[in-house]
Amino acid sequence: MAEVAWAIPLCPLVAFVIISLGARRSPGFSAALSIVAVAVSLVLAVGVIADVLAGGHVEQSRVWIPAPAIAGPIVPLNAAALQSGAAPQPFSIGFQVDALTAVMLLVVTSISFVVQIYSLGYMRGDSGFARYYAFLSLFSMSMLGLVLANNFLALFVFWELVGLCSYLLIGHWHERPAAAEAAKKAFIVTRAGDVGLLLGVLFLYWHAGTFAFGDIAQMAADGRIPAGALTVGILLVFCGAVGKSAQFPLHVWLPDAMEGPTPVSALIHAATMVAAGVYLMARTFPILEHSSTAMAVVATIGGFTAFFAATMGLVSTDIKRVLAYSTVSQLGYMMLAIGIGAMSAGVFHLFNHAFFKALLFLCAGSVIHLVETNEMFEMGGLGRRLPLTTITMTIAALSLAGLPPLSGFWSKDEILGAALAGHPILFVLALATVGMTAFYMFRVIFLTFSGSFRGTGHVESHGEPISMALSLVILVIPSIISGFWGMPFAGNPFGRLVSGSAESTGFHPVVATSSVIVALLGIGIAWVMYGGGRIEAGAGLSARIAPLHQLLIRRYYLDDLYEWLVARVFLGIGRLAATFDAEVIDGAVNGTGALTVLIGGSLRRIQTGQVQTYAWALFAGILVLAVLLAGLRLER
Amino acid sequence: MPTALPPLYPITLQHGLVLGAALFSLGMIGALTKRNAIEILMSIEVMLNGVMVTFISFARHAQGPALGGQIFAIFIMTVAAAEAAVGLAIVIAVYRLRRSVAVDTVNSLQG
Amino acid sequence: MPTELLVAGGFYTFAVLAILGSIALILSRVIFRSALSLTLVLASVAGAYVVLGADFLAVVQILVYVGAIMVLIIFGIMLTPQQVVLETARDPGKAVAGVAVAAAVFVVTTGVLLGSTWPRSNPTPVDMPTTAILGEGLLTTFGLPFELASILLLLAMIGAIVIAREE
Repeated sequence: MAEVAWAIPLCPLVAFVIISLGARRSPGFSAALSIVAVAVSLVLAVGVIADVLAGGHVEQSRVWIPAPAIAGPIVPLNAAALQSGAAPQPFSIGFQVDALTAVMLLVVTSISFVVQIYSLGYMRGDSGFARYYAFLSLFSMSMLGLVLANNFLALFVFWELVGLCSYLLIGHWHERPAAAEAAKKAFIVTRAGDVGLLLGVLFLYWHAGTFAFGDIAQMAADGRIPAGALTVGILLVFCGAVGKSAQFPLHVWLPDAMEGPTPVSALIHAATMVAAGVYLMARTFPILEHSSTAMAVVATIGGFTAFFAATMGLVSTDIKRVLAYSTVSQLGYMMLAIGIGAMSAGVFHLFNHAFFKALLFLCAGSVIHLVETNEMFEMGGLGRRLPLTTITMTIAALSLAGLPPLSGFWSKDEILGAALAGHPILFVLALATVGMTAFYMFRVIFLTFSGSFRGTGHVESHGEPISMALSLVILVIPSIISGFWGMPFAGNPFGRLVSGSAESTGFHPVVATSSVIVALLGIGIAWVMYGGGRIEAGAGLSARIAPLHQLLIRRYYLDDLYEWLVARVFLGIGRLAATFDAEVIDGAVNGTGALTVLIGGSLRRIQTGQVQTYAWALFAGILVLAVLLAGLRLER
Repeated sequence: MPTALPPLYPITLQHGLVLGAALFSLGMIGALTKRNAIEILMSIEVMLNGVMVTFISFARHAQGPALGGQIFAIFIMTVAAAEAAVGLAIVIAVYRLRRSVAVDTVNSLQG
Repeated sequence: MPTELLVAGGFYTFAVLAILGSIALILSRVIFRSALSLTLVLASVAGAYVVLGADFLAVVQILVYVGAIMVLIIFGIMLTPQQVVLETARDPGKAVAGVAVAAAVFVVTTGVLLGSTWPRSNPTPVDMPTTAILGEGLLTTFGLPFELASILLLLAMIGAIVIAREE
């Protein structure tokens, strides 16, 4: 089955093409086509997992551009690479299927499938229904292609496609200026990271002469790439991951991206696209692990982001924004794990997080669908009206907080354990983040579901639509049990599968106990402050620490900083360049024309129209010639 | 340039050459500075005469065909006659058109 | 055999006359006086020819130049009456430039002519009759140019008539 893994992204691609070409007029057909396509991909993905569990591993490549014709000037220029015999490889595209890819395929197809079913209910009646499903299919194709790619070049193509889909889907309701702005912001900020990625890819190619992951990893292992170059290259690649996975300092786009429809947030900005950065670092881990500097950078940024984003989640009043900060924070955990060497732990957390975070978003969507607002201070008491949502969301929140035996506990424990082993500062940061995570998550739960309704307007109590309810039920199952795959008590089959090593991580009772205690502490404080839907305690606290509160609400003024940077610096440079172009370059060109006219005008005066002038010129010329010739003659 | 001035006496080739050059230059002055077209024609005649003097001076001393210089001078004279005739015809035609033969007014080709 | 002295004296006389005549031609403001100066020049040149050993050419010069071309020019002057002295709207730069170039030409030419070494040969005697030799040359060695010259004269005649006739 793994040999036909290339068909997995093909199904949603076909769906996208057909929908774009004509099925737009029939929304029902578009949705059905899209769902069927992703269902087929899901089935194939399951087959691939089965294959990989049985020990299968596939890598296939086709030559796309033969190297000598093109790579002439692109031959690796550094002597070391040339000496080591790194001949320019032909540009090839291909795919590989190993445990990491299989896991990602499963995640992407399953969540994509659930989200598309959910959207039947959520997006019913929307004018852009068919367009929505078309872009969802395109996104599925791009993400699946990304995880199947076996070389940087193909990965970069799909990387950009994924970014494009994010832009299209965030801005789905493009008549709303906020949505359009958010889509632009997302694209531009991730673009900044993508520049680094491209530079990194080219830099590594320059030193290694190839784009393929496996070959570069092999060369790094053999020591054929100079250490400094390796660090620079992989750090540049990490820039792309920072952008796509919304790590500090390129995290600013993700909270705004919540302007898109909630199912989109669930799929793209919780489970899959933002995970692409983590996937990239996991995929390049064999290269990354040879540079301790780069590892330290990755871990530090990951740990810092985890803590930093959680602080902002403490004060946010928009239900989706809290979930966005939570996503950034959890992605920080994953980066942290990869940075300290526990790659399989990071991937395991990605796996679990995809399910419960998607579930959280879909539950939030259910709430929003009912009350038509995102502001939690206008909610409350919805537990009676949305029982299924309440239950599933609470389960997902418990999983996120890391309470056993839910899935989040196992992956977080693994990461914390690895952090304690060698990076005490990061361990402290991560543990503090656990507490904050539990707190803000249950703040959301209590504010939304308990107490009495605080909002204005009439709310119908009809419960959830069938398609949405079904999706919630489907997702709550893996949120509970997906962690068992990686239980240390069972020998951690997941970790062994992904990392390819035979040993399993152990269970750390100290870590486990402390994390559970901290999480319960967080939940307890949330209960004290917001239990029963009370908001006075929170308001009072915010008033007392107003400056700090303001700092967090304004996201540490980073958005303002970036806006200043763009408006003053970048646009200033742009204006400078425009002036230079208009004055200097155009001036030079126009000046040349003006000069020609000037010379012409002056030379024109030779033509006086009078014969005597011409006769005079004739004789003067003869004179000059005669003198020249006479002079030449004399010298002889 | 080592200019060997010829002795005053006897008359040699160089005497004739200097006379020819002088007439040529004087005629050139007239040809380049006069306003009246007929005066220019007259100056050109002077130039041509200067040239003829040069050729005739050479005729005695040259080693070409016998008296080749003088024969050439005959041809110059022929052409000068033809040119004078046509030139004056043109002057008369222009005068008929513009009532003036000042050459600096005939400048419609001015760029 | 005329003495060299005689030849020299004749030459200098006619040379000076010719040069003075051309100077008068240039400097004269009245066009008829220029015409008369031209006549003087032509006649003096004819005399110079005699001294330079071109007797036939001297006579032809008088006949053609003084006799025909001068008459033509004076007719031209008569048929284009203008103010005797033209309005002085001339460009002084032109005069200076013209004189400069002419002077330069004179200097260069004489410099070249006097500075070159001409091949030595025995000069033909001054009083040798040239008619027969000229005739022979015209009809044998220079036969083609002779015929072409006659065609040229024909063309000039036709041309002059066409250009100058009344429409």
